[in-house]
Amino acid sequence: MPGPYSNVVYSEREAINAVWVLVSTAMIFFMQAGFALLECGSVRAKNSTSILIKNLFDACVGSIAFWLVGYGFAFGDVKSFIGGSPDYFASSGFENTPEDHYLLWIFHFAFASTSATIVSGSLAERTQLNSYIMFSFLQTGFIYPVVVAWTWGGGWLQQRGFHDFAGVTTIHLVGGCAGFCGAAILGERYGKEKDREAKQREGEMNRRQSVNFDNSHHYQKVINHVNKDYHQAFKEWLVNQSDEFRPHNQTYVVTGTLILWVAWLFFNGGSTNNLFVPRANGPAKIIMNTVISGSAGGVVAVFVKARLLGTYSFVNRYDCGALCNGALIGLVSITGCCDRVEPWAAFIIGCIGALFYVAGCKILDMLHVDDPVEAAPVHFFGGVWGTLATGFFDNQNGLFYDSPTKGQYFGYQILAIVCVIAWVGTTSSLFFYTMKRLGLLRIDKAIEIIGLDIAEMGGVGEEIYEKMRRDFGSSIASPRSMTRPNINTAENVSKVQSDDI
Amino acid sequence: MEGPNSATVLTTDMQINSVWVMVSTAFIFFMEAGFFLLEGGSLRKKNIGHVLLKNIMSASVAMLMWWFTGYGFAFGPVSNHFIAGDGRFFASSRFEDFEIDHYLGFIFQYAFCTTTTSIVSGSLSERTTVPVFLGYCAFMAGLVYPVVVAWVWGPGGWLLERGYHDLAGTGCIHLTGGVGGMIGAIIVGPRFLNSKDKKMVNLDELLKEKEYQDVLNTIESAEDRAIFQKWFLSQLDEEIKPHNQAFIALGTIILWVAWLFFNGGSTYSLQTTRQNSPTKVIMNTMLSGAVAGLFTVIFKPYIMKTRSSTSKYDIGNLCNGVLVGCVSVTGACDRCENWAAVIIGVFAALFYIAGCAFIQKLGIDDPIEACCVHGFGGFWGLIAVGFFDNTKGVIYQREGRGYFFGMQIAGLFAIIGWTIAMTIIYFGIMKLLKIDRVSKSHELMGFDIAEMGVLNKHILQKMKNQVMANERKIRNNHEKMPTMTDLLAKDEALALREEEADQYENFNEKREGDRPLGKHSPSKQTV
Repeated sequence: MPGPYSNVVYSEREAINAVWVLVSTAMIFFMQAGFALLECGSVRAKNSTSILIKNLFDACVGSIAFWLVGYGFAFGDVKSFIGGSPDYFASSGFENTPEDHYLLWIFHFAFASTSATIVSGSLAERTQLNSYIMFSFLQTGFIYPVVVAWTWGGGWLQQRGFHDFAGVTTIHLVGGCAGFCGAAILGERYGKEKDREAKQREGEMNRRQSVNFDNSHHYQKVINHVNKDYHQAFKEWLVNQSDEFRPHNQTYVVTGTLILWVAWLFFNGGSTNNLFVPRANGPAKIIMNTVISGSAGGVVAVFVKARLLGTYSFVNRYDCGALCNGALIGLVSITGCCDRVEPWAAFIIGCIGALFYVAGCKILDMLHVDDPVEAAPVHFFGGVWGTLATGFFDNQNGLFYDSPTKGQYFGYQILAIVCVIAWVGTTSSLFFYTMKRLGLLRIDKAIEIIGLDIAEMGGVGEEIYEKMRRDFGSSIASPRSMTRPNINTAENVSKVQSDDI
Repeated sequence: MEGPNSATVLTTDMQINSVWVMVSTAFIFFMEAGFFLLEGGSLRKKNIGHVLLKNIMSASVAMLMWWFTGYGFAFGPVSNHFIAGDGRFFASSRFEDFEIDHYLGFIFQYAFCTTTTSIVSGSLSERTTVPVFLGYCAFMAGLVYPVVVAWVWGPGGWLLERGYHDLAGTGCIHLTGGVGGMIGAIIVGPRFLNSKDKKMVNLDELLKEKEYQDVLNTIESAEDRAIFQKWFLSQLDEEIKPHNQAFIALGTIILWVAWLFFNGGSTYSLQTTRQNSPTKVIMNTMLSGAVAGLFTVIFKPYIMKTRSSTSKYDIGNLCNGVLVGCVSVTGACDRCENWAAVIIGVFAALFYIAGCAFIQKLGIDDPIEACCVHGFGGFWGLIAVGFFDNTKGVIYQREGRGYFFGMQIAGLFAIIGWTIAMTIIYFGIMKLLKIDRVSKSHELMGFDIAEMGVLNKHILQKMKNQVMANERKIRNNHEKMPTMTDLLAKDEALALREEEADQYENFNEKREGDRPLGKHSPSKQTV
């Protein structure tokens, strides 16, 4: 909307900074691609499309939510807890202020979408899409903006000297914590739960899934779309599917990690919003710290994780997933303090970050919280460590330096961790728990076994038929005589049911 | 070439803007990767190498033609309002004579130009011969597209002089590319498996075709030849569907990110007023894409009646929705408010869905729906400028709004008419020469096998597995399929204890209750 500042033009300095911020924005937004690939590669092949669509959905939904309400809550003249100035909702008064809020909006939207997309990894493979979309709206529109208001929008934490440079608390802790709560409330993926219970009872034997398909009307809905000759084979095929939990495509995982890593340089570097800063806090030093910490985290994690978790063996010496996640937790950990630490501190932060990642995996395993892409260990535990690390290594107020206020400063870092976890934990748990009670949170167990791609994203295709033919050749019609099944006619449904079994 | 301005150095302001334009150029050129991934993921696996080759070749051919003639036709001083033709611009021969840095203009506009050819590539894929496609790219980059650019952006173009507004090329890039692709797809015809010919195909003739025989002759052993022939015939029943969803999603995100620069970079400058600044442009682009994506993925299955309980969401719809939103806001994004961008996004989704229904009705085979996204999106984008432009748009009470709207419509029809005419001429000639599309056997084998030499032992082994799977029915027909209970008896590991079965068989009751399943009582089969 036109306002008093509609015709303002950038000064030379502002223009230079704007180029930097715009390029950073694009690279941060590109992290969506990184997360999508990382998560897609880390889940089982039968759910790969569903995780991609979740990632795209949260970018779309997030942009609407952040435009309508989120930005207003985060930056609309925050007194201490939450903003509320009408100029900032739905960008209605962006031309009434001296600062260019269009620029800040796109930059912070890229951050907000990152925070939302972290959650999708923790909830992968078993969440109903609708409730995920609703959560995405809630998180980008309310939960995340409130934390931003505290830490960056001029709220109570910022007023008391709390330092979070590029969002280790604000973005990663929030996303990771929400994902952790969601994963805990959702419960483990079906096969994993089953596996664990069977192990408890009778050791390594008995890894079969047991589901009574005939009782499930979700299963009936899917099978109505399957060619009639294949009904029996389909069931057999489902039961005999490998129920192993391992990443289905390592190339995607590595590509995704590298995209994230490159984008992270701008995630941290671009957060200066400014190129006219002293060299001690400049983007160049920030990017250097980011690279060092990420590398240290990756190297330590890949050598330490298997040994600490007791999964090390001759045939399993190097774990690509641990390397990628280790690099990511190194990057997460340095995000909060990269403008005020020395490179040696970045190295230490990365190394300890990897230990936090391993500890996170262990703790999640002990609590039976199932996080398919290990987003909670990386972002939740990394977020906690990153906020603490700011208290230790900050070269102005950190505990390792001589500053009169260092005790108070460290105290506020800890208070921030506690408050953010309390806020995000409460709100997101409340949402997930309500959804669970309404039966909208988790997909049906039969669908979990079939896989979301077949059950919701297009049904059984020729590839699956071919696999079935390969495995169970007999009593199946040849492809030439095969016709597409008639969908949803009442006649067909009743016929299917009488012919079934 | 050296000229009077060879030694000119940019001022600070110009340096800032150059950085902005150059970064934008790089991102726009990166759209090639996005288009390749989107197209490669949406087509069948057997053509992936061909798509890769085609996209890189078309970028290269477009580069050459844009350098030889395109840039000169588009941006030389226009003398007759229709097409420019200053000799100093051809093959960059006298760029250093001018005060403006034409090297910068050239690379930026080249990135736009190659986007146009990439759009066309989607509509024509899986059946057009490579030389004809590359010829069309050369024709597009060397003449068709530059003339449109001369009208709308070139100094003194007839549309530009009359106040026509198109910031980043919703008309001249997307509409041109989309319409070109659509007409090409009509003339070349649908893919063999989608066409009516499929039912009355003569198998003997098919097996005698030269392309097929050529490939067959490269296989050494007779057994492999037999397997290849069986595999080849089984391709008649192939289902056409996207083979890699991750490529589609990745391509879309790359395109979306690049689009921020496609639009934002088109301001050429950071010294703009805030209401027209790159930042607002980028915000509009994000909003419009997001809204259109959501709207499409939710409503398209209902409107096209493809929704069923097993296909509730389609990632292709979401991706194309995001893209059509970006296409439509491309023209208006520097002069419309954020709420207008959202409305443009909603209507963009409707135009896209209408486009899909339209090509379905007419039987036009566009493998990745490029003409729905870019053609129909561009169509709406130009009209949207007429409505929502905050200086002269129809919804604002300003003088001259009728004329402005009229010029948008005139531009729209001029661009469509010109593109259609030129495309018909080119593909008409190719059709008459009968070189426009590959033979049936070529299409069935896939371009990778037919002309890129990917057939090797490994692939033959895969074919063998597939053929064996298809034939097992014939050999084992007498054998009854083992039932669940048979399997249970056979495999001890499968035999769960009774208590555990009890525990899981009723897992669904909490939510669904006892749902009767027809006349069958649940048979408690548990494995």
